[in-house]
Amino acid sequence: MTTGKSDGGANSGKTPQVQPKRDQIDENLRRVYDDMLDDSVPDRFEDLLRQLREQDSRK
Amino acid sequence: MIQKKLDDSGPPLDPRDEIITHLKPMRAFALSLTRDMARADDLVQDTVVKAWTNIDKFTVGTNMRAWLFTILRNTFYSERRKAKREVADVDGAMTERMSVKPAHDGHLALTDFRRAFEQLPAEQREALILVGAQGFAYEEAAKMCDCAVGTVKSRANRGRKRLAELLHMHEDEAMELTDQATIAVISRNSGAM
Repeated sequence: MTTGKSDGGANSGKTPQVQPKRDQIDENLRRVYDDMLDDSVPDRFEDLLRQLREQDSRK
Repeated sequence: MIQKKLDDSGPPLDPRDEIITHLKPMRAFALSLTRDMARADDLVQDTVVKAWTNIDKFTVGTNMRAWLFTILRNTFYSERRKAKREVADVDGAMTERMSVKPAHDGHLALTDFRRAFEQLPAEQREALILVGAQGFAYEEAAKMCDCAVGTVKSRANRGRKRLAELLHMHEDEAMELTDQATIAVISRNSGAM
């Protein structure tokens, strides 16, 4: 899975005590909506993609 | 004509088939902007339709997630301008009175983090999700947001600072944002915090 991750110096030059807090915030930013979102694709998006495909095949 | 990836093991792959693999991150990103599940999924729906019908603008081999996220955030901001419905983002003075108390001494639930996060202005939430959660480089995020690299950096830094304040984080404390089971283990084993 590509996420475009490249540090680009974003975390360089920071004092030692800033980095663990930043990593901790980042970890929680990744998880912030986990409890609200299933891994499975909701029906509305399955239906949408199917409709889009069908529209195309009718062109 | 739709550009297709050439895979030497089979027929050309349609880049549109990749859209669904980014759906959950798109929903999370949409949630971070709208702070409302129904609006978030409407936003994702609009984004998927735009991406599908404009797939010829996507360069095969480049970062599709960046492309989708860019469509999503552009749609969010243009819909917000049209609707003028966005709840006014609270400024620093207001959030001072809205700081989040941890549910347990030193330990926070995900919901507490989310409540603090959702008090930040949209541009800061966006910068933090792109750079902090998704791991885009500042340069990539700046392209996606159509702003200067320095702007993304300052939004992310201000957002982090505000989060830390709202969550009562201190420089010398290691605060764990964790669940009940881990809290129990930590309490039993270390007696610290």
